[in-house]
Amino acid sequence: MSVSDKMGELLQALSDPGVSGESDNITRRMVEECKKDYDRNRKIPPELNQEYVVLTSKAENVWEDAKHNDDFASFQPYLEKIVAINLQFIDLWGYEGHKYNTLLDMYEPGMTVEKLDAVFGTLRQRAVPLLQAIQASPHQPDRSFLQQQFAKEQQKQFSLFILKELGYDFEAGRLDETVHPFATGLNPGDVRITTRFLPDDVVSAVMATVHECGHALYEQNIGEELYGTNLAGGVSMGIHESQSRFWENMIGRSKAFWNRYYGDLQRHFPGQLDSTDVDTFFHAVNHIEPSLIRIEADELTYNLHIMVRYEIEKGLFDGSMKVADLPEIWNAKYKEYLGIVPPSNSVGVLQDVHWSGGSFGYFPSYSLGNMYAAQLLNTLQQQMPNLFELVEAGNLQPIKAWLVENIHRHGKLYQPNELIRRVTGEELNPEYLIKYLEQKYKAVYGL
Amino acid sequence: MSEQLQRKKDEFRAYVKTMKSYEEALGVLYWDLRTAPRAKAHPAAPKLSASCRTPIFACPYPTRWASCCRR
Repeated sequence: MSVSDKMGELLQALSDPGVSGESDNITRRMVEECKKDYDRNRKIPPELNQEYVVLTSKAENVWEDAKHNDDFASFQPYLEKIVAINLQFIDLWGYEGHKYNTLLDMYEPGMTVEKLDAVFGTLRQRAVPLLQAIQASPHQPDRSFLQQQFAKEQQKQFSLFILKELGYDFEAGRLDETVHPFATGLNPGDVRITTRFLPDDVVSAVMATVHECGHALYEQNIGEELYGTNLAGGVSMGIHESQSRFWENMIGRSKAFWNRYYGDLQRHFPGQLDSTDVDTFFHAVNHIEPSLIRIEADELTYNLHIMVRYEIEKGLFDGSMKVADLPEIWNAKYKEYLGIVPPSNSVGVLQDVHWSGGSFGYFPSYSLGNMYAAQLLNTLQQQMPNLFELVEAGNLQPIKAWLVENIHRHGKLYQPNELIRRVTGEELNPEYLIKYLEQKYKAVYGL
Repeated sequence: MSEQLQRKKDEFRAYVKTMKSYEEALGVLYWDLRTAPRAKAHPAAPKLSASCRTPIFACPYPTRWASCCRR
Protein backbone atom coordinates (compact mmCIF):
# COMPACT_ATOMS: atom_id res chain seq x y z
CA MET A 1 0.00 0.00 0.00
CA SER A 2 2.87 2.40 0.75
CA VAL A 3 3.96 2.33 -2.90
CA SER A 4 0.57 1.90 -4.55
CA ASP A 5 -0.76 4.16 -7.30
CA LYS A 6 -3.44 5.20 -4.85
CA MET A 7 -0.79 6.39 -2.39
CA GLY A 8 0.96 8.21 -5.23
CA GLU A 9 -2.25 9.98 -6.16
CA LEU A 10 -2.95 11.03 -2.56
CA LEU A 11 0.60 12.25 -2.02
CA GLN A 12 0.55 14.24 -5.23
CA ALA A 13 -2.65 15.94 -4.16
CA LEU A 14 -1.36 16.73 -0.66
CA SER A 15 2.29 17.55 -1.34
CA ASP A 16 1.68 20.72 -3.25
CA PRO A 17 3.27 23.57 -1.25
CA GLY A 18 0.05 25.56 -1.36
CA VAL A 19 -1.88 22.64 0.06
CA SER A 20 0.66 21.51 2.65
CA GLY A 21 0.84 25.06 3.97
CA GLU A 22 -2.84 24.79 4.88
CA SER A 23 -2.45 21.45 6.59
CA ASP A 24 -2.21 20.82 10.31
CA ASN A 25 1.22 19.75 11.56
CA ILE A 26 0.29 16.09 11.92
CA THR A 27 -1.05 15.69 8.40
CA ARG A 28 1.84 17.67 6.94
CA ARG A 29 4.41 15.44 8.67
CA MET A 30 2.45 12.30 7.74
CA VAL A 31 2.62 13.34 4.10
CA GLU A 32 6.36 14.11 4.35
CA GLU A 33 7.13 10.71 5.86
CA CYS A 34 4.93 8.81 3.40
CA LYS A 35 6.40 10.68 0.47
CA LYS A 36 9.94 9.89 1.55
CA ASP A 37 9.12 6.19 1.76
CA TYR A 38 7.13 6.26 -1.46
CA ASP A 39 9.79 8.07 -3.49
CA ARG A 40 12.59 5.81 -2.30
CA ASN A 41 10.79 2.53 -2.68
CA ARG A 42 9.30 3.37 -6.07
CA LYS A 43 12.81 3.90 -7.41
CA ILE A 44 13.70 0.27 -6.78
CA PRO A 45 12.73 -2.10 -9.61
CA PRO A 46 10.51 -4.90 -8.20
CA GLU A 47 12.81 -7.65 -9.48
CA LEU A 48 15.83 -6.07 -7.77
CA ASN A 49 13.85 -5.71 -4.57
CA GLN A 50 12.83 -9.37 -4.73
CA GLU A 51 16.40 -10.45 -5.35
CA TYR A 52 17.52 -8.42 -2.33
CA VAL A 53 14.85 -9.77 0.00
CA VAL A 54 15.71 -13.36 -0.91
CA LEU A 55 19.43 -12.64 -0.64
CA THR A 56 19.27 -11.07 2.82
CA SER A 57 16.95 -13.79 4.06
CA LYS A 58 19.42 -16.47 3.02
CA ALA A 59 22.38 -14.42 4.18
CA GLU A 60 21.16 -14.30 7.74
CA ASN A 61 21.14 -18.07 8.02
CA VAL A 62 24.52 -18.30 6.29
CA TRP A 63 25.89 -15.70 8.69
CA GLU A 64 24.67 -17.68 11.70
CA ASP A 65 26.48 -20.78 10.51
CA ALA A 66 29.55 -18.79 9.50
CA LYS A 67 29.73 -17.21 12.94
CA HIS A 68 29.27 -20.56 14.63
CA ASN A 69 31.97 -22.21 12.48
CA ASP A 70 34.35 -19.23 12.35
CA ASP A 71 34.05 -19.35 8.57
CA PHE A 72 34.11 -15.89 7.01
CA ALA A 73 34.72 -17.32 3.54
CA SER A 74 31.24 -18.87 3.40
CA PHE A 75 29.60 -15.53 4.27
CA GLN A 76 31.84 -13.38 2.05
CA PRO A 77 30.00 -13.84 -1.28
CA TYR A 78 26.68 -12.99 0.36
CA LEU A 79 28.09 -9.86 1.95
CA GLU A 80 29.70 -8.83 -1.33
CA LYS A 81 26.37 -9.13 -3.09
CA ILE A 82 24.52 -7.25 -0.35
CA VAL A 83 27.01 -4.37 -0.58
CA ALA A 84 26.80 -4.39 -4.37
CA ILE A 85 23.01 -4.17 -4.35
CA ASN A 86 23.10 -1.44 -1.73
CA LEU A 87 25.41 0.52 -4.03
CA GLN A 88 22.80 0.08 -6.77
CA PHE A 89 20.12 1.34 -4.40
CA ILE A 90 22.21 4.38 -3.54
CA ASP A 91 22.59 5.23 -7.23
CA LEU A 92 18.86 4.81 -7.75
CA TRP A 93 17.97 6.90 -4.70
CA GLY A 94 20.60 9.55 -5.36
CA TYR A 95 22.94 11.04 -2.79
CA GLU A 96 24.64 14.25 -1.72
CA GLY A 97 28.28 14.19 -0.68
CA HIS A 98 29.32 10.73 0.52
CA LYS A 99 27.35 7.74 -0.80
CA TYR A 100 27.01 6.46 2.76
CA ASN A 101 24.95 9.57 3.65
CA THR A 102 21.94 8.02 1.96
CA LEU A 103 22.19 4.94 4.18
CA LEU A 104 22.74 6.99 7.35
CA ASP A 105 19.64 8.99 6.56
CA MET A 106 17.49 5.87 6.72
CA TYR A 107 18.19 5.47 10.42
CA GLU A 108 19.00 9.04 11.44
CA PRO A 109 17.32 11.53 9.13
CA GLY A 110 19.65 14.41 8.33
CA MET A 111 22.81 12.67 9.57
CA THR A 112 25.88 12.80 7.31
CA VAL A 113 29.45 11.53 7.21
CA GLU A 114 30.64 15.10 7.64
CA LYS A 115 28.74 15.52 10.91
CA LEU A 116 29.65 12.06 12.20
CA ASP A 117 33.33 12.46 11.41
CA ALA A 118 33.33 15.59 13.54
CA VAL A 119 31.49 14.20 16.56
CA PHE A 120 33.25 10.83 16.51
CA GLY A 121 36.62 12.57 16.11
CA THR A 122 35.99 14.69 19.19
CA LEU A 123 34.70 11.72 21.16
CA ARG A 124 37.60 9.46 20.30
CA GLN A 125 40.16 12.15 21.06
CA ARG A 126 38.85 12.40 24.63
CA ALA A 127 37.73 8.80 25.22
CA VAL A 128 41.10 7.17 24.52
CA PRO A 129 43.10 9.10 27.18
CA LEU A 130 40.32 8.45 29.69
CA LEU A 131 40.44 4.75 28.91
CA GLN A 132 44.22 4.72 29.30
CA ALA A 133 43.96 6.46 32.67
CA ILE A 134 41.32 3.98 33.83
CA GLN A 135 43.46 1.02 32.79
CA ALA A 136 46.40 2.43 34.74
CA SER A 137 44.32 3.07 37.86
CA PRO A 138 45.05 0.91 40.92
CA HIS A 139 41.33 1.10 41.83
CA GLN A 140 40.12 -1.82 39.71
CA PRO A 141 36.77 -3.39 40.67
CA ASP A 142 36.36 -6.70 42.42
CA ARG A 143 34.13 -8.75 40.13
CA SER A 144 34.80 -12.15 41.64
CA PHE A 145 31.41 -12.25 43.38
CA LEU A 146 29.70 -12.23 39.97
CA GLN A 147 31.30 -15.54 39.08
CA GLN A 148 28.54 -17.78 40.34
CA GLN A 149 25.29 -19.25 39.03
CA PHE A 150 22.18 -17.08 39.30
CA ALA A 151 18.88 -18.96 38.87
CA LYS A 152 17.11 -18.02 35.67
CA GLU A 153 13.67 -17.84 37.28
CA GLN A 154 14.92 -15.40 39.91
CA GLN A 155 16.56 -13.30 37.19
CA LYS A 156 13.20 -13.18 35.45
CA GLN A 157 11.39 -12.17 38.64
CA PHE A 158 13.88 -9.35 39.23
CA SER A 159 13.52 -8.18 35.62
CA LEU A 160 9.73 -8.05 36.02
CA PHE A 161 10.12 -6.15 39.29
CA ILE A 162 12.44 -3.57 37.73
CA LEU A 163 10.15 -3.12 34.72
CA LYS A 164 7.30 -2.22 37.06
CA GLU A 165 9.53 0.24 38.93
CA LEU A 166 10.49 1.91 35.65
CA GLY A 167 6.85 2.35 34.69
CA TYR A 168 6.60 -0.23 31.90
CA ASP A 169 2.91 -0.80 31.19
CA PHE A 170 2.20 -4.53 31.26
CA GLU A 171 -1.30 -3.82 29.95
CA ALA A 172 0.39 -2.66 26.76
CA GLY A 173 3.20 -5.16 26.41
CA ARG A 174 4.96 -8.25 27.69
CA LEU A 175 8.40 -9.59 28.48
CA ASP A 176 9.73 -12.67 26.68
CA GLU A 177 13.04 -14.42 26.39
CA THR A 178 15.28 -14.49 23.33
CA VAL A 179 18.92 -14.95 22.41
CA HIS A 180 19.46 -11.32 21.48
CA PRO A 181 17.30 -8.79 23.35
CA PHE A 182 15.09 -6.47 21.33
CA ALA A 183 11.97 -4.33 21.58
CA THR A 184 9.15 -4.21 19.06
CA GLY A 185 6.47 -1.57 18.99
CA LEU A 186 3.47 -2.72 17.01
CA ASN A 187 1.45 0.26 18.24
CA PRO A 188 1.46 2.23 21.52
CA GLY A 189 -0.89 -0.34 23.02
CA ASP A 190 1.32 -3.31 22.18
CA VAL A 191 5.01 -2.81 22.80
CA ARG A 192 6.82 -6.07 23.47
CA ILE A 193 10.29 -6.57 24.83
CA THR A 194 12.66 -9.48 25.15
CA THR A 195 15.67 -10.11 27.30
CA ARG A 196 18.06 -12.97 27.92
CA PHE A 197 19.06 -14.71 31.13
CA LEU A 198 22.64 -15.92 31.35
CA PRO A 199 23.05 -18.20 34.38
CA ASP A 200 26.60 -17.00 35.00
CA ASP A 201 25.95 -13.28 34.46
CA VAL A 202 23.21 -11.64 36.54
CA VAL A 203 24.11 -8.13 35.40
CA SER A 204 23.53 -8.91 31.72
CA ALA A 205 19.80 -9.59 32.09
CA VAL A 206 19.21 -6.60 34.37
CA MET A 207 20.89 -4.18 32.00
CA ALA A 208 19.33 -5.69 28.89
CA THR A 209 15.89 -5.47 30.48
CA VAL A 210 16.37 -1.86 31.53
CA HIS A 211 17.71 -1.05 28.06
CA GLU A 212 14.75 -2.57 26.23
CA CYS A 213 12.37 -0.95 28.71
CA GLY A 214 13.80 2.43 27.65
CA HIS A 215 12.80 1.66 24.06
CA ALA A 216 9.40 0.43 25.17
CA LEU A 217 8.59 3.48 27.31
CA TYR A 218 9.17 5.62 24.22
CA GLU A 219 6.74 3.60 22.12
CA GLN A 220 4.13 3.17 24.85
CA ASN A 221 3.89 6.90 25.48
CA ILE A 222 3.37 8.29 22.02
CA GLY A 223 0.68 11.00 22.06
CA GLU A 224 -2.83 9.73 21.44
CA GLU A 225 -3.33 12.22 18.62
CA LEU A 226 -0.72 10.24 16.65
CA TYR A 227 -2.36 6.83 17.08
CA GLY A 228 -3.13 5.17 13.77
CA THR A 229 -0.73 7.44 11.89
CA ASN A 230 2.73 6.78 10.54
CA LEU A 231 4.08 9.21 13.17
CA ALA A 232 3.29 6.85 16.06
CA GLY A 233 6.84 5.65 16.67
CA GLY A 234 10.37 6.77 17.46
CA VAL A 235 11.65 9.51 15.17
CA SER A 236 15.05 7.93 14.57
CA MET A 237 17.18 5.05 15.76
CA GLY A 238 19.53 7.50 17.46
CA ILE A 239 16.76 9.11 19.50
CA HIS A 240 15.38 5.64 20.23
CA GLU A 241 18.78 4.51 21.48
CA SER A 242 19.02 7.64 23.60
CA GLN A 243 16.00 6.43 25.53
CA SER A 244 17.32 2.91 26.08
CA ARG A 245 20.81 4.10 26.96
CA PHE A 246 19.55 6.85 29.23
CA TRP A 247 17.77 4.28 31.38
CA GLU A 248 20.41 1.58 31.10
CA ASN A 249 23.54 3.64 31.69
CA MET A 250 22.71 7.02 33.14
CA ILE A 251 20.04 5.76 35.54
CA GLY A 252 20.59 1.97 35.67
CA ARG A 253 24.33 2.16 36.28
CA SER A 254 24.14 5.10 38.69
CA LYS A 255 25.05 4.85 42.36
CA ALA A 256 21.65 6.24 43.31
CA PHE A 257 19.87 3.46 41.42
CA TRP A 258 21.80 0.70 43.17
CA ASN A 259 21.55 2.40 46.54
CA ARG A 260 17.81 1.99 46.06
CA TYR A 261 17.61 -1.40 44.33
CA TYR A 262 20.62 -3.44 45.44
CA GLY A 263 18.72 -4.69 48.49
CA ASP A 264 15.97 -5.93 46.17
CA LEU A 265 18.52 -7.73 44.04
CA GLN A 266 20.04 -9.36 47.11
CA ARG A 267 16.59 -10.54 48.24
CA HIS A 268 15.99 -12.19 44.85
CA PHE A 269 19.16 -14.28 45.30
CA PRO A 270 19.18 -15.26 48.99
CA GLY A 271 22.66 -15.81 50.33
CA GLN A 272 24.45 -15.13 47.06
CA LEU A 273 25.23 -11.42 47.40
CA ASP A 274 25.15 -11.05 51.17
CA SER A 275 28.88 -10.50 51.54
CA THR A 276 29.04 -7.92 48.74
CA ASP A 277 28.23 -4.33 49.62
CA VAL A 278 26.56 -1.85 47.29
CA ASP A 279 29.78 0.08 46.62
CA THR A 280 31.48 -3.07 45.41
CA PHE A 281 28.49 -3.97 43.27
CA PHE A 282 28.26 -0.45 41.81
CA HIS A 283 31.94 -0.49 40.88
CA ALA A 284 31.57 -3.92 39.29
CA VAL A 285 28.65 -2.87 37.05
CA ASN A 286 30.73 0.10 35.94
CA HIS A 287 33.78 -1.93 35.10
CA ILE A 288 35.66 -0.47 32.13
CA GLU A 289 37.79 -2.73 29.99
CA PRO A 290 38.43 -3.06 26.25
CA SER A 291 36.62 -6.16 25.08
CA LEU A 292 35.88 -7.96 21.85
CA ILE A 293 32.09 -8.02 21.83
CA ARG A 294 30.11 -4.84 21.22
CA ILE A 295 26.94 -5.82 23.06
CA GLU A 296 28.89 -6.69 26.18
CA ALA A 297 31.00 -3.53 26.12
CA ASP A 298 30.95 -0.91 28.85
CA GLU A 299 29.58 2.57 28.16
CA LEU A 300 33.00 4.10 27.48
CA THR A 301 34.58 1.59 25.11
CA TYR A 302 31.22 0.92 23.43
CA ASN A 303 31.65 4.02 21.32
CA LEU A 304 35.01 2.76 20.04
CA HIS A 305 33.33 -0.46 18.88
CA ILE A 306 30.87 1.66 16.92
CA MET A 307 33.62 3.79 15.37
CA VAL A 308 35.28 0.65 13.98
CA ARG A 309 32.05 -0.37 12.27
CA TYR A 310 31.40 3.16 11.05
CA GLU A 311 34.85 3.44 9.47
CA ILE A 312 34.37 0.09 7.75
CA GLU A 313 30.91 0.92 6.41
CA LYS A 314 32.20 4.22 5.05
CA GLY A 315 35.05 2.36 3.36
CA LEU A 316 32.74 -0.22 1.80
CA PHE A 317 30.59 2.47 0.22
CA ASP A 318 33.32 4.82 -0.98
CA GLY A 319 35.15 1.87 -2.53
CA SER A 320 38.26 2.14 -0.37
CA MET A 321 37.62 -1.23 1.30
CA LYS A 322 36.74 -4.65 -0.09
CA VAL A 323 34.61 -7.25 1.67
CA ALA A 324 37.35 -9.85 1.23
CA ASP A 325 39.70 -7.71 3.32
CA LEU A 326 37.28 -7.11 6.19
CA PRO A 327 38.67 -9.67 8.66
CA GLU A 328 42.11 -8.09 8.44
CA ILE A 329 40.75 -4.55 8.49
CA TRP A 330 38.51 -5.37 11.45
CA ASN A 331 41.38 -6.82 13.46
CA ALA A 332 43.69 -3.92 12.63
CA LYS A 333 41.08 -1.38 13.70
CA TYR A 334 40.39 -3.22 16.96
CA LYS A 335 44.10 -3.11 17.65
CA GLU A 336 44.20 0.60 16.84
CA TYR A 337 41.02 1.66 18.68
CA LEU A 338 40.84 -0.78 21.58
CA GLY A 339 44.29 -2.27 21.79
CA ILE A 340 43.07 -5.85 21.37
CA VAL A 341 42.94 -8.30 18.47
CA PRO A 342 40.11 -10.84 18.08
CA PRO A 343 41.42 -14.40 18.16
CA SER A 344 38.80 -15.48 15.61
CA ASN A 345 36.36 -13.99 13.13
CA SER A 346 33.47 -15.35 15.21
CA VAL A 347 34.27 -12.80 17.88
CA GLY A 348 35.54 -10.33 15.29
CA VAL A 349 34.03 -9.33 12.00
CA LEU A 350 31.27 -11.96 12.20
CA GLN A 351 29.93 -11.01 15.62
CA ASP A 352 27.01 -8.79 14.54
CA VAL A 353 23.93 -9.74 12.56
CA HIS A 354 23.35 -6.31 11.01
CA TRP A 355 25.29 -6.64 7.75
CA SER A 356 23.65 -9.96 6.86
CA GLY A 357 20.34 -8.10 6.74
CA GLY A 358 21.78 -5.17 4.82
CA SER A 359 21.54 -2.81 7.80
CA PHE A 360 24.31 -0.44 6.80
CA GLY A 361 24.10 2.93 8.52
CA TYR A 362 22.47 1.47 11.61
CA PHE A 363 25.54 1.17 13.86
CA PRO A 364 26.20 4.90 14.38
CA SER A 365 22.71 5.13 15.94
CA TYR A 366 24.03 3.43 19.07
CA SER A 367 26.69 6.06 19.72
CA LEU A 368 24.37 8.85 18.68
CA GLY A 369 22.02 7.48 21.31
CA ASN A 370 24.74 7.80 23.95
CA MET A 371 25.41 11.38 22.89
CA TYR A 372 21.74 12.38 22.79
CA ALA A 373 21.16 10.70 26.15
CA ALA A 374 23.96 12.65 27.85
CA GLN A 375 22.69 15.88 26.33
CA LEU A 376 19.17 15.13 27.59
CA LEU A 377 20.53 14.22 31.03
CA ASN A 378 22.27 17.58 31.24
CA THR A 379 19.04 19.43 30.48
CA LEU A 380 17.02 17.21 32.80
CA GLN A 381 19.44 17.85 35.68
CA GLN A 382 19.15 21.59 35.13
CA GLN A 383 15.37 21.37 35.32
CA MET A 384 15.31 18.67 38.02
CA PRO A 385 18.34 19.26 40.28
CA ASN A 386 17.18 16.53 42.69
CA LEU A 387 17.16 13.94 39.89
CA PHE A 388 19.35 11.38 41.61
CA GLU A 389 17.66 11.92 44.96
CA LEU A 390 14.46 10.85 43.23
CA VAL A 391 16.23 7.79 41.82
CA GLU A 392 17.59 6.90 45.24
CA ALA A 393 14.07 7.18 46.65
CA GLY A 394 12.76 4.88 43.95
CA ASN A 395 10.60 7.71 42.62
CA LEU A 396 11.26 7.32 38.90
CA GLN A 397 7.89 8.63 37.77
CA PRO A 398 8.93 12.34 37.42
CA ILE A 399 11.85 11.29 35.20
CA LYS A 400 9.62 9.19 32.99
CA ALA A 401 7.07 12.03 32.86
CA TRP A 402 9.77 14.48 31.73
CA LEU A 403 10.81 12.15 28.92
CA VAL A 404 7.18 11.58 27.91
CA GLU A 405 6.52 15.31 27.80
CA ASN A 406 9.70 16.24 25.95
CA ILE A 407 10.41 13.23 23.73
CA HIS A 408 7.96 10.35 23.73
CA ARG A 409 4.63 12.00 23.06
CA HIS A 410 5.92 13.75 19.94
CA GLY A 411 6.59 10.51 18.02
CA LYS A 412 7.85 11.52 14.60
CA LEU A 413 6.31 14.96 14.67
CA TYR A 414 9.74 16.59 14.70
CA GLN A 415 12.94 15.58 12.93
CA PRO A 416 15.67 14.35 15.34
CA ASN A 417 17.83 17.49 15.14
CA GLU A 418 14.76 19.69 15.60
CA LEU A 419 13.57 17.62 18.57
CA ILE A 420 16.91 17.70 20.36
CA ARG A 421 17.20 21.44 19.76
CA ARG A 422 13.69 22.04 21.14
CA VAL A 423 14.49 20.10 24.31
CA THR A 424 18.12 21.04 24.99
CA GLY A 425 18.46 24.36 23.15
CA GLU A 426 21.16 23.14 20.81
CA GLU A 427 21.94 20.53 18.19
CA LEU A 428 23.83 17.32 18.87
CA ASN A 429 26.93 18.11 20.94
CA PRO A 430 29.33 15.28 21.92
CA GLU A 431 30.76 17.40 24.72
CA TYR A 432 27.95 16.33 27.08
CA LEU A 433 28.77 12.65 26.72
CA ILE A 434 32.48 13.31 27.18
CA LYS A 435 31.87 15.34 30.34
CA TYR A 436 29.47 12.71 31.68
CA LEU A 437 31.99 9.91 31.12
CA GLU A 438 34.92 11.88 32.54
CA GLN A 439 33.03 12.96 35.62
CA LYS A 440 31.59 9.53 36.36
CA TYR A 441 34.66 7.41 35.75
CA LYS A 442 37.16 9.73 37.37
CA ALA A 443 35.09 9.24 40.52
CA VAL A 444 34.62 5.48 40.08
CA TYR A 445 38.30 4.83 39.40
CA GLY A 446 39.69 7.48 41.72
CA LEU A 447 41.50 9.36 38.95
CA MET B 1 -9.75 24.99 3.15
CA SER B 2 -11.87 23.58 0.36
CA GLU B 3 -14.19 20.67 0.97
CA GLN B 4 -12.42 18.74 -1.75
CA LEU B 5 -9.06 19.16 -0.05
CA GLN B 6 -10.48 18.15 3.32
CA ARG B 7 -11.90 15.02 1.72
CA LYS B 8 -8.47 14.20 0.30
CA LYS B 9 -6.87 14.58 3.71
CA ASP B 10 -9.49 12.40 5.34
CA GLU B 11 -9.01 9.82 2.62
CA PHE B 12 -5.23 9.90 3.09
CA ARG B 13 -5.42 9.48 6.85
CA ALA B 14 -7.90 6.60 6.53
CA TYR B 15 -5.63 4.95 3.96
CA VAL B 16 -2.58 5.25 6.24
CA LYS B 17 -4.56 3.88 9.16
CA THR B 18 -5.54 0.81 7.16
CA MET B 19 -1.94 0.34 6.04
CA LYS B 20 -0.74 0.50 9.62
CA SER B 21 -3.29 -2.06 10.74
CA TYR B 22 -1.99 -4.51 8.11
CA GLU B 23 1.57 -3.93 9.26
CA GLU B 24 0.62 -4.49 12.88
CA ALA B 25 -1.03 -7.79 11.99
CA LEU B 26 2.11 -8.89 10.15
CA GLY B 27 4.19 -7.80 13.11
CA VAL B 28 2.19 -10.01 15.47
CA LEU B 29 2.54 -13.02 13.18
CA TYR B 30 6.24 -12.48 12.90
CA TRP B 31 6.63 -12.06 16.64
CA ASP B 32 5.08 -15.49 17.10
CA LEU B 33 7.55 -16.98 14.64
CA ARG B 34 10.51 -15.24 16.20
CA THR B 35 9.77 -16.10 19.79
CA ALA B 36 8.70 -19.70 19.14
CA PRO B 37 11.30 -22.33 19.93
CA ARG B 38 13.02 -23.38 16.74
CA ALA B 39 11.57 -26.89 16.78
CA LYS B 40 8.01 -25.54 16.76
CA ALA B 41 8.57 -22.79 14.25
CA HIS B 42 7.99 -23.10 10.54
CA PRO B 43 11.18 -24.34 8.85
CA ALA B 44 11.33 -21.16 6.84
CA ALA B 45 11.20 -18.98 9.92
CA PRO B 46 14.40 -17.37 11.07
CA LYS B 47 16.01 -19.13 13.99
CA LEU B 48 15.33 -17.81 17.44
CA SER B 49 18.32 -15.59 17.36
CA ALA B 50 19.93 -12.30 16.89
CA SER B 51 18.15 -10.25 14.32
CA CYS B 52 14.81 -8.58 14.25
CA ARG B 53 13.94 -8.28 10.61
CA THR B 54 10.27 -8.46 9.93
CA PRO B 55 8.44 -8.54 6.60
CA ILE B 56 7.77 -4.88 7.24
CA PHE B 57 11.47 -4.28 6.95
CA ALA B 58 11.94 -6.54 3.97
CA CYS B 59 12.25 -3.63 1.63
CA PRO B 60 15.45 -1.80 0.84
CA TYR B 61 14.20 1.37 2.42
CA PRO B 62 12.89 0.56 5.90
CA THR B 63 9.61 2.31 6.46
CA ARG B 64 10.29 2.64 10.18
CA TRP B 65 6.55 2.37 10.80
CA ALA B 66 6.92 -0.53 13.19
CA SER B 67 9.89 -0.04 15.39
CA CYS B 68 12.36 -2.76 16.13
CA CYS B 69 15.34 -1.92 18.26
CA ARG B 70 18.08 -4.48 18.77
CA ARG B 71 20.47 -4.36 21.62
